[in-house]
Amino acid sequence: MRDHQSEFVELYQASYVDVVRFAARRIPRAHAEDLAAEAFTVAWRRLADLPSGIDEARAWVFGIARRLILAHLRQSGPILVEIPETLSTPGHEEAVVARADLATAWNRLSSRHQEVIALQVWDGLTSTQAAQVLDISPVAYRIRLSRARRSLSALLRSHDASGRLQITRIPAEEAHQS
Amino acid sequence: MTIDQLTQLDPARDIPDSLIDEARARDTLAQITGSAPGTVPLRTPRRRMRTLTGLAAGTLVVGGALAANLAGGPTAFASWSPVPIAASAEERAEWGEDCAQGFGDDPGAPFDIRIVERRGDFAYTVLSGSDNYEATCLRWLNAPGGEVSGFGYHGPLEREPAPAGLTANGVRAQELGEADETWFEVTGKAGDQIVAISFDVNGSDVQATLEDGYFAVWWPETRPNLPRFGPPNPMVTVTLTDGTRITQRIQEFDAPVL
Repeated sequence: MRDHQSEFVELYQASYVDVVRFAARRIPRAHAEDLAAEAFTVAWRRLADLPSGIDEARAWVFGIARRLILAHLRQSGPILVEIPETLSTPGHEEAVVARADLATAWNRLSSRHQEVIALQVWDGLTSTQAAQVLDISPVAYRIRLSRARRSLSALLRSHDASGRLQITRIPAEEAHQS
Repeated sequence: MTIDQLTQLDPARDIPDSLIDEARARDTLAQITGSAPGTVPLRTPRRRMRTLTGLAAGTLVVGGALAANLAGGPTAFASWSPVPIAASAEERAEWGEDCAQGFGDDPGAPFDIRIVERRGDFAYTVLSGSDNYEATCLRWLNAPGGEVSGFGYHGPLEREPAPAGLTANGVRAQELGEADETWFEVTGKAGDQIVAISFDVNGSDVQATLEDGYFAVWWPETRPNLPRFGPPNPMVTVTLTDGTRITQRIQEFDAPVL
């Protein structure tokens, strides 16, 4: 058990900020550290379940954090991962416009698609780890990720002549992917 | 869109690494570790996922890469047809690509689309990769609550078929989650003299799809007692280019593999 305790402290030191960020992407920033503390408290109570390997353990805590978020939101998932409209995007004008379009397209994605992409791109998880967080198989995760990327690309392509994004309805088939 | 662009839009990108050095983070750690840790594994019972379970007949089936969320019931396969319909070019591209994307990291990848067929509300796809690995997907197009898919990974086939023979990756039973129903599937390669294949399933003819040397057939069936009786070994009739028909059990067509 002492080894597990040492591993927990090591995990905490290495992953605390990541868990705060994980939470901040899904709930208001003001509550992110509270959520992280709650997740690590649960992890401590489940110390005997702590996976070996820092990356696997981090993904495990992400999974705990996600379930806590779902419990707080009183929903079963998926969790919306929005890009704030006020997010500053410094850079050359063209790049700023491109990022603004990307942000607009992102926020029109279904929450299911947002979540699978966010786990890879922002939370930095492998397919296997992301699948663990979502409690699905790696194959199912990869399918979802592929569809999510395709949906995002379709939204980005839906510019009209003036360069403004048009409302693009995600086909029901896409929205229903499980 | 690039990953780099998306990375720059991370809603949490303003949270600094130095957060771990702040008093709140240290206090939280001290508070947590000041209590007794859990000493008993508290693995919560995993939510029963409605998964497809591969019950393969052949020892060559190496993968159970299966995922599904089939909310089926006794009538789940009501629309199934013993005669397959070839998918349109558009359907083939969409369903085939979706299926292939599920196996991008598996041995044999990248996979090529070999067969895409429809039977009622179900689309079935067969992919082949290098070293004769195979992947299959069953897509329930009008499932209650939204479209769902199941994925299987099989192989490799050990040998090429004789001109009038078949090689298959076993007769595989796939369980339809919580519903008490099973479907069987047989996929593999057909010799170049074969122009048609049909399976005798409980007295009914079920036509296989045959395309460019690959064949596939699947049919729903109430779950048998597989561990006791083993997989089914249906009679198969192949029609050759000269009109000759050969009927024997699938294991006799493919004895070395099955």
